[in-house]
Amino acid sequence: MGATSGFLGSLWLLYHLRTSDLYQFTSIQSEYGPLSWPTWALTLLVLATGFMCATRAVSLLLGRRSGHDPSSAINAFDNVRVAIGGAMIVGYGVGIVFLGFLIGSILFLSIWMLLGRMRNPLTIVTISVLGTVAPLYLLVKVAYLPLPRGVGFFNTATLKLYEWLGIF
Amino acid sequence: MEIFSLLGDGLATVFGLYTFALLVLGIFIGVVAGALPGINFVNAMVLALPFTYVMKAEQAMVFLAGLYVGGIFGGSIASILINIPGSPGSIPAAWDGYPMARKGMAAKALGIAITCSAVGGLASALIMIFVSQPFARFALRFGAPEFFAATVLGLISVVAIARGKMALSLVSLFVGLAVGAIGLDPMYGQPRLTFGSAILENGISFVVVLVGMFAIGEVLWWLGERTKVSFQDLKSTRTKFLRPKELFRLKGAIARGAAIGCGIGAIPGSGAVVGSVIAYGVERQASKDGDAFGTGVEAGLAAPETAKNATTGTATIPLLTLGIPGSAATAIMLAALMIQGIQPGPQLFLTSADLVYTVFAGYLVANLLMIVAGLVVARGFATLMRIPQVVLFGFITLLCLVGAFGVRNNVADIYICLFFGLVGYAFRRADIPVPPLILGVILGPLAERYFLTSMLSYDNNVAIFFQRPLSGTIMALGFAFLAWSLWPSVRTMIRQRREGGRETGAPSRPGTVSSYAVRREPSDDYGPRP
Repeated sequence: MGATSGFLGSLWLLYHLRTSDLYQFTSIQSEYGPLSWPTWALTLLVLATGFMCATRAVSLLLGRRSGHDPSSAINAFDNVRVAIGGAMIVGYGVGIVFLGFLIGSILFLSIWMLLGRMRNPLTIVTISVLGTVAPLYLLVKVAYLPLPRGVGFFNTATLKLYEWLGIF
Repeated sequence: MEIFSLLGDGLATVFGLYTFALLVLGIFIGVVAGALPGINFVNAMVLALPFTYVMKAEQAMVFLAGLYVGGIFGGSIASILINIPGSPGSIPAAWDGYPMARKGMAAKALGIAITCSAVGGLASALIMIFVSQPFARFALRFGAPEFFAATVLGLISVVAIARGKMALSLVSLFVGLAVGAIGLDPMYGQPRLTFGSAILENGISFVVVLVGMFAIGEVLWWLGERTKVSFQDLKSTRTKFLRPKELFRLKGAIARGAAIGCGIGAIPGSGAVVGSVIAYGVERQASKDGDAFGTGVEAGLAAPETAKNATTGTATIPLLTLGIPGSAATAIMLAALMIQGIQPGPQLFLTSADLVYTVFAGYLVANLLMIVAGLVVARGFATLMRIPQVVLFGFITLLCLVGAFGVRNNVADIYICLFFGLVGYAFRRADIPVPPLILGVILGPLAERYFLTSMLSYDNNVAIFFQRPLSGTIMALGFAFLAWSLWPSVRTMIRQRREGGRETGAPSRPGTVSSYAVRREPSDDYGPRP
């Protein structure tokens, strides 16, 4: 499944590259131009994924078992946890743009620890706040890294908190 | 004499209060990160990257060198005490170290591991100091074709090391090359594979890919694991150092380990895992107690421990002299240098010799300080293991996204990092090695630039790479290395055909080729968590 989608994906990218306007530019300017390297990389990728697809197809046709038991892989991993955790991480990444790093990170760490079965509110709040403020202080105050402050109300709130913490 | 003078200056810089404090901090973070199963020290290096913004170049490099040296060793503490290698390079330490601990010799096993790691690391640092400058002088003669050939050698060796996972490693490498090609081309400034996106026109920073693939991928992997081991009952352990007589008895194992580690470390794409496993295998053959290996033999612990840390210094040689990182750890060092606006290569020895020798001095001091850090962390290991992993992984996520953002102060890098985090997880689920992809992203753009420059300079003559003596030699070396690496697989295939495809069915033992193929990962610091 993975090899087939990899093969089709790389084939599509190669087709996209070969049909782009830039391809004309390459052939006019020089024998080796801007598209040479990506074309070779994608061609090699198509060949490698194609080889894997072919190998697996031959194995299936010959009726060989791969030795890899899919049921054991399913049992070994908690896909629900991965999905929830992954969604939280993606949500955090997207969220800090709107909520700001300070508020977004405190929220993320708190929910993360709650979902991780930590139940002591004092521990959760202490770790979340200190764990966010310490790197924030170092990165914004010392390294002048312009971490996202959020939009609208969250921007105003973050600025107030920065002033209160002595960061600004 | 110039070397000693420069090294003296480097040592003076390292012993400056702030730099020394950073070195100590780096070593401790490295040892702790290495010792904690689930937290790879390379993850720690990635997470430490944004903090190097506030440091000077030499401080950042000394800090990362400390983290690297400490991290490579740290994994052995967990291997010996709980039979779970903290990092892939420490897998052989579990084979004889843990049986020693089971026999009530944990303190002695830790003593062997710390002493041998320090000896190996020091030997490697000394080789780095005395080999790097002559090699950099030699590399000053390199033109674009030679640099292209050297980059190709790096790409070949990454794949060549991945015996047993050749097709998957190739896929990973080619994905990396394709990702590295996204953005404006280095010669004509034309956009490729950007789909009209302004974000992608700037290309994809390898640091963002690195952070996503390893750190976010690691968090997702940890989330998915059903088995979470508890170490609440673990007791603290003291370390017992070897007496000179005992150390002398292990001189052969240490010498062989150091030689193997130093040699392997210099090969791009190999490193601690390959070095330690090969050293274990060689020692098993060389030792008269070879048959007892796996039951708690001191030499079986000493050799791989020496080799593991002996890879650190020599792995840094290609980075400093050619600007080509051979492993993920050195790739992070490259990123730290580039953040400071410094491009490593032979010119670095002329323009920033003080920086180079401070790094050398940092490695020397780090290997000595590692002994102290090892003692302290081993003593407090039981306490460390009580830190809830959910907290650790929460902070990893937080620091990852900050690190990705900090590369270009661009929110888009956070999204790219998240995307590659998912890719990293998918790769690990599909058993595709990640290091070739990372090195493809780093080496691909370099190779392309050198290739296009060569073609412009030599009238599109591809044969130039073979016609010039130096580049021809490097290319020949690359192909010879590839052939040498492929030969065992080809030989096995031929033998199997001759024998009619009969399977041997013999159980694998630690250090044998078959066990090596199963256990090993294609790069030192980045395999799946053991």
